[in-house]
Amino acid sequence: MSTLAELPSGARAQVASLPAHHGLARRLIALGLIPGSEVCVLQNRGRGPLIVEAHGARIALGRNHADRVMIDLDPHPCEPLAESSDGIDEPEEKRPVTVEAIPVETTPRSTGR
Amino acid sequence: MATSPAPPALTVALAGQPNVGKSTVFNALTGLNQHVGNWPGKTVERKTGSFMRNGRRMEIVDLPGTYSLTSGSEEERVARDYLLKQPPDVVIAMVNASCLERNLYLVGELLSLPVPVVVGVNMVDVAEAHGVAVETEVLSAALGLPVVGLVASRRKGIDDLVDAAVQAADEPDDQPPARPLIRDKHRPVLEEIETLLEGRIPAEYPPEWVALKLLEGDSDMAELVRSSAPEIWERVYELLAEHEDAYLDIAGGRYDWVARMVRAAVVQPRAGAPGITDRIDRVATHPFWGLLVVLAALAVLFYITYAVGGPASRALNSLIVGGFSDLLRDGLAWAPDWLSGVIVDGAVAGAGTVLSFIPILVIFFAALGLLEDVGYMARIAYVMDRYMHWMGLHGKSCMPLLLGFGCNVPAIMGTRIIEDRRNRLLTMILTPFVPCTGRLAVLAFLAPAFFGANAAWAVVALVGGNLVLLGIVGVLTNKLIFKGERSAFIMEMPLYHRPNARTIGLYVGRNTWAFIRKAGTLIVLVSALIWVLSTFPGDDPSTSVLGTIGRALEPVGALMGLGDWRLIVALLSSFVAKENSVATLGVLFGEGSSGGGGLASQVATVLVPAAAAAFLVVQMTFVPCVATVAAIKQESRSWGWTGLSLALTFAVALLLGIVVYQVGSLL
Repeated sequence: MSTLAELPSGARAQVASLPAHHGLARRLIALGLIPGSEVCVLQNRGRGPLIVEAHGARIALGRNHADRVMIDLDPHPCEPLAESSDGIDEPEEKRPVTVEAIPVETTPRSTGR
Repeated sequence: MATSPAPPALTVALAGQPNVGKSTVFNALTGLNQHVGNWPGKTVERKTGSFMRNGRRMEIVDLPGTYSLTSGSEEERVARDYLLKQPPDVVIAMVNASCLERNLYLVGELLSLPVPVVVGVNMVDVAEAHGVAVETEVLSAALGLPVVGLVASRRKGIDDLVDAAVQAADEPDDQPPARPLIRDKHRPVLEEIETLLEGRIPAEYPPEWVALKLLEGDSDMAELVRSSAPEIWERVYELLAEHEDAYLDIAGGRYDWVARMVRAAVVQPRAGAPGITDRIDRVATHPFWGLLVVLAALAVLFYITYAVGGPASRALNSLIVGGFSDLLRDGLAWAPDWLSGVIVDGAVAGAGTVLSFIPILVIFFAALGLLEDVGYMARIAYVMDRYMHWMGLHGKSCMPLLLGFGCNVPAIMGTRIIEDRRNRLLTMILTPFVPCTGRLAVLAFLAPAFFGANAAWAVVALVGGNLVLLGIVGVLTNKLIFKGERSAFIMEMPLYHRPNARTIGLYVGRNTWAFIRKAGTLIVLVSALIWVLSTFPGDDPSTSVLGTIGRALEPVGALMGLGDWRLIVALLSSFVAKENSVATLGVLFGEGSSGGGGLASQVATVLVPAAAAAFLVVQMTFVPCVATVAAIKQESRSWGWTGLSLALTFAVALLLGIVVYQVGSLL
């Protein structure tokens, strides 16, 4: 199982579990992230906060929190804000981890048209 | 009208998550007939207002915008305490059509409280532009509640919403609405706790609601049960401990309910057609291009503020204040000199200073309000987040800090948008390092005389220096005081939408008023006081009370090259209001308040370049003005933090002043 922070832009997933910290979990729930809900990664550049969409709302989420949200990957990708492969902020050493964890058709390169 | 008695007034509460246009509805309903204050004993803004509808008085209470009524922030406590303890006749729950799913979550929570609810679906136009259509009749049938579609920024649907609210209050529906249910797994424990509570807790608390909140881990409700029904607390506590994960099934039940409601009533856009928000965000949230956009937006913001506001401010000062002083002086010819002095050279000159800032502030706040209202401010916070992390802050702190360029007072109050206290306090401590219009005005006035052709560079260096200083102080404070703790950055990114002039107008009004009310009275009073202190005893400033204080401090000033007591007094008077430095120099160097460039060059003659630089550095970083200090005390509710802010800025200013002078003298 991987964390939300490991997903590349354009990946879709189901939230599996939230951080144990109660206050943080409740804030995430109120903003739409709850176990079982679908989440789309609109932007994840390997550094800085992510932009995700859940329950029809778009939220910015600090990387340290996204790292504590466990997810189950959904093989159907969604539309990212931008291709993550524009070379900015994606340290090479970080990318293979995320890419390998994901079925081929959801990697950023293959979703790009 | 006169024949039938007027129907009783109705109290209507406005509830909703942030970014649903709740304040637009509030403003549309109440116009200027509104009162902004604080909820008793809280630093949470309380907005109330009233209007007449068919001869009936309607009182509107705007509840704080919250995502839920569960997570225990001060705003959420305020909202639900109000709904429980002073239940309004009806609640209008505002939702945003383009974010219906998440917004209905709060509606799901409201439905477990014993008040009639009417739903207003706002921004149907924005949603349509993004391909989302909401069928209000279908939604109404599914919810079992009245639902009204709105475009509040164009007043569309507002009247229908009020009619629906009046009807819901007068003729409550006996069909209960479709309420969210806890998921099956935890239904038995909910019922068990509910039965235990029955008849044992104060009547204003519905047992089912309290049981839900207990299972959601609500400490206030735990305290309520422990104190009002100690005999069952042990059993309740046991059940709660056994079912620690119930909160997920409660929240999950609400989202299940939302999904059922939305499935029928919302037509989603076909996939693959990016909306306007996506297209803008591709650039606006990009780590590199997005940063450029932020910098460009701020450059334009400051350019417009000073290109338009600067001349307007000078015109206002010379035309109105100058003209008025002369008239007043003639009118007071009969009065003793000291009286006309206190009034004309003291109070009126001080009031003039306040007045002359208004054009600049209005333009600045209008531009900032525009960025906020179209939804761009959240993008600034997003792009800046990674840089704010260096200081242990997150992106949201950018918003109050930006306000600080106008005036530090509304900036301190603006820190309310930051949820956790640690982050909020740190932002308050950093705010005084943001150069406000007052300080920039002094800088703009003195720099040309001090640095001649290099003035523009000096200004850029000093303002840039302040920001670098802000960063350094932030990193150090975070390391030393907060031990590098990080806090949660979770923020909604609203869809872009067209700005609403009324909302921006009220934003400008609120922030400018914070300046006028706090700064205005203090500046006028203290300007008069300074005039008195600099005149008595003995008519000669150098022997006056102020002169004596300044002379006593000359040895300290000398370390910074400011051995002239007049300069020290000018710096001290900036504690009252930053812009006072100029006025004080005017009084002490024997110029009228309309002194102009003559004064600046006169001051320049007593300063060597290194000392001039030191003077401006100290001026830019010296302790926050008294109005800001008062705001820090009020918002932090702590003398300790207020004292820390004063001590920190004082020490930094002194240290930098000495360093700049000593190093500058070597060059």
